[in-house]
Amino acid sequence: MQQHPLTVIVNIKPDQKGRLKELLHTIRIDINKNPHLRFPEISTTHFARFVLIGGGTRATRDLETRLYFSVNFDGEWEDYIDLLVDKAGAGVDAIFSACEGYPNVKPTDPNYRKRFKDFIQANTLKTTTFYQGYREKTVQEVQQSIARRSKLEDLVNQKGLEGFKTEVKINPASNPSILAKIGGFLKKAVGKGLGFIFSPLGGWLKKNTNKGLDFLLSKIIGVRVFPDVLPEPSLPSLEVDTRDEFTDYLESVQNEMTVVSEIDPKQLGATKRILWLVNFLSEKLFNKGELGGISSIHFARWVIIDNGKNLLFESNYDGNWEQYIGDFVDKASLGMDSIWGNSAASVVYPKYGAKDLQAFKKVIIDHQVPAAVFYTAYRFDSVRNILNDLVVNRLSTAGATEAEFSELCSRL
Amino acid sequence: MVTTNQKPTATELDFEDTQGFVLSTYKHLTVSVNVFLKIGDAAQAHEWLKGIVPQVVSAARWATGPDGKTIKPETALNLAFTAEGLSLLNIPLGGFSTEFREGMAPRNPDKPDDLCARSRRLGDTGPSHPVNWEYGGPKNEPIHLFLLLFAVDSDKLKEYLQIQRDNWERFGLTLLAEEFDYRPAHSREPFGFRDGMSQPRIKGLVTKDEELGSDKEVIAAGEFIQGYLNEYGYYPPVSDKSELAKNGTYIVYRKLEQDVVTFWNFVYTVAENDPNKAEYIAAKFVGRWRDGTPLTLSPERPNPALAADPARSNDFQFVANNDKAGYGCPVGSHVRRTNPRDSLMPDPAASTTAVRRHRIVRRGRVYGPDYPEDVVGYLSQLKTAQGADKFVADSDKPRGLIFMCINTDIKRQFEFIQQTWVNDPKFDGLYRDRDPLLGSNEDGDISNMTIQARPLRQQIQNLPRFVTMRAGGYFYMPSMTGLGFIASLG
Repeated sequence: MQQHPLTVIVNIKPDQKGRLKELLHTIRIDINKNPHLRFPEISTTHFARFVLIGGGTRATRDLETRLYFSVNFDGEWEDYIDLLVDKAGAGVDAIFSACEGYPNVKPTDPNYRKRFKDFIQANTLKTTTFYQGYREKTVQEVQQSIARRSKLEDLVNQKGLEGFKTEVKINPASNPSILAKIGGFLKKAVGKGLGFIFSPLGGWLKKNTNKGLDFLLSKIIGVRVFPDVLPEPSLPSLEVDTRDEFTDYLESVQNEMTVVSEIDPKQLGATKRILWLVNFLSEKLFNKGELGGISSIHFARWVIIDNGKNLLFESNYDGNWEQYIGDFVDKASLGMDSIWGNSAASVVYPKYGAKDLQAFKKVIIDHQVPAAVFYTAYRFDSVRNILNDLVVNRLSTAGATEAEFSELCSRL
Repeated sequence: MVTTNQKPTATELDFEDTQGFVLSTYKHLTVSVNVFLKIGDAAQAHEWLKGIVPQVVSAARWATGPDGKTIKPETALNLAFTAEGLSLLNIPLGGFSTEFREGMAPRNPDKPDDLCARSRRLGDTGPSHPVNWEYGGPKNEPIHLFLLLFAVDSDKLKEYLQIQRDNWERFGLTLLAEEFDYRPAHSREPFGFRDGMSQPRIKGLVTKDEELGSDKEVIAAGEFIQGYLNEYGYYPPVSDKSELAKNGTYIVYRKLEQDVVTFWNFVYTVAENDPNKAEYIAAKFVGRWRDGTPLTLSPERPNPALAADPARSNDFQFVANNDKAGYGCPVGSHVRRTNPRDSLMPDPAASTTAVRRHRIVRRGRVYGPDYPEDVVGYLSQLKTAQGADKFVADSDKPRGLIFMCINTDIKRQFEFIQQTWVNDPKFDGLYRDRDPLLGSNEDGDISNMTIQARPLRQQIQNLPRFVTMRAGGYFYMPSMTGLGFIASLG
């Protein structure tokens, strides 16, 4: 089943801000059991968040004038909104009634559902780039896989290999067809060829294609290109103050990031083109749980908001902030530069690009807003855990060949 | 940002201007004491500094005698400061890193018992909670100065300490803690493993191979000393004061108590009291056999010749040496977590680049009663001798490691290693494992050790905490120029 992003941005009524913040706080502190909005019951939700955002500059960052509501969900948009209204109608009403343009009808009114959908639709923005760590897998499938592997792990711990063999059907060995082999090879090869922008290979291509990649990026796509070799700096790097709420673990394996930054109006077209390209790559190539060299992202998105004025980035990632930014810079600086390099002067994007770690950190810190509510359906599971669990589930339920059984054992 | 036009140079290290501790292990100065002091009166402290600065040992080459041999000093003294100490001495903290300014265990006057975000990141939880620390914690008196004294033997050290004590008392400094430690001749840490085998080589530092081990990696000097280019090709952030912008660095100090008896009891229980199996399990925890043989190079048994050869004992990668899956050195073992080499996603080259940006130079020594090279043999002896052995009497006495490391970016180097590699249960695709030696293993649900094997891994559950934090702090160790500058502000 297809996974989809929902990106809603709506103005908050100034006199309702206090109430809204309090309400979101009560949801946050008891995310699974609060009386207002329990995402586990809206069972097609992978990840969701509410963030009070401002504008795309350091000065406007914390204004909290708008509510950003984001979901990564399974299936059709309409079904998801229906589920939201059915399972959490009162909570949803309490939240969105603090926002401008909310329909002036009670949830009990027969017209409410349609009016609410219209309201959500009117405030929904098209997600320009959407990355999924485990494509086409539903929440249910993922959770089943997690439970399945956990059960097999216990079984193996109690009964050893023999006990495990009773649980898994062994099929007679069958050789993969020549065609499948060639197909696999081609897929790999193409992946490496086009996956340049987010992988360390990008750096290599940049150096070895005689400026061919630079030409493609700067002349055809139109993004700003940064030097491969840094000129020797004359001054020490900036000391940047990372806020604890970003660097600290939340109550889950995952962490959240929301960044809103101003786009240089002259670079809006280039921004759209590069985001289209990244989206294309996300769909066609980075569909195995790895956005370039980074294997810790469950879902990420870039959305051009405010009629092209600002760029919103959202990520649901494993681990901690320091590690994540390090990954950006170590493994995907070309990708970062190609996207955020188009920022307006107010963003103060590093002169020589994301390779200037401290200056790049400052860009993120200056434009990051902490979520008021962050929900994950997989509190204890990293992307790598989930991808592994999916394979274990598949091999152990469908039946495995001898070779696959060995593979299965190595994944427990 | 630095406010000066003085441009740091990227080339050679300035040995004369760098404190000796930063670049040397003082191998011949086998005993030492870490002295933590509090300033009573700033003016007096400045006077003390003026007298002490000329005694501070730099990394300059030692003099040569008429016989052509190096004259090695019998004592050495180095000096470092906390942020609070610098402030009292009129040094503005602009440009110093947040983690240094806040300290390893920041005070929270409103909620003094709460665990702060940094402690959670470092795994200083449960019994390691900073409120329980002997010094350096939020409930202890604030440390201002850290005096490191080294000597060739205990008598010399006592004599040297007495001279220093008489001196600091005259200037109104108060002793908060005195921690004696030493370098055992057998180079084994208290669990019985050979220690200090993997150290990054600092670019520009010429030294003998045996002092640094055989690590072929040469890491940019700016990762360890301020004023030089780091692994990103940039200069690390430094103080706004140009006098403190070069040849200084940050020192991380952690007193790590090791529960040796619990460790070996646990290992023997898992091994069902089979000594060979126990050696194997313990080696899998560490990633090396007790004599230092890397499991990646010799997974079946120790190889004394290999372990003893500094050119080979640290010359390995995980993927390149066919150990990607961890069948030799387990993925979650201590040495692999603290230096993953080429093993991280997505490929060896990217892993190597990333790992080079999270290295530290360790300067650890041990504290507590002396112990033999063969701790395991000793322990099994005392089991049969029913407590007749000296070790039994000593086994109740605290012992462990005084872990110190040198880095220019505490957050990106020491704290990153601690949070992202040592204590992250999801390290490199794992599920519920932490570093079996250092990890904050106190939550039964996340305290596994997985030993990768074919056809099936061995999963050891419910590891207890073997190492407990007893004291700690972040310190700034200025250059020789910097010391003079601080002293001059009085």
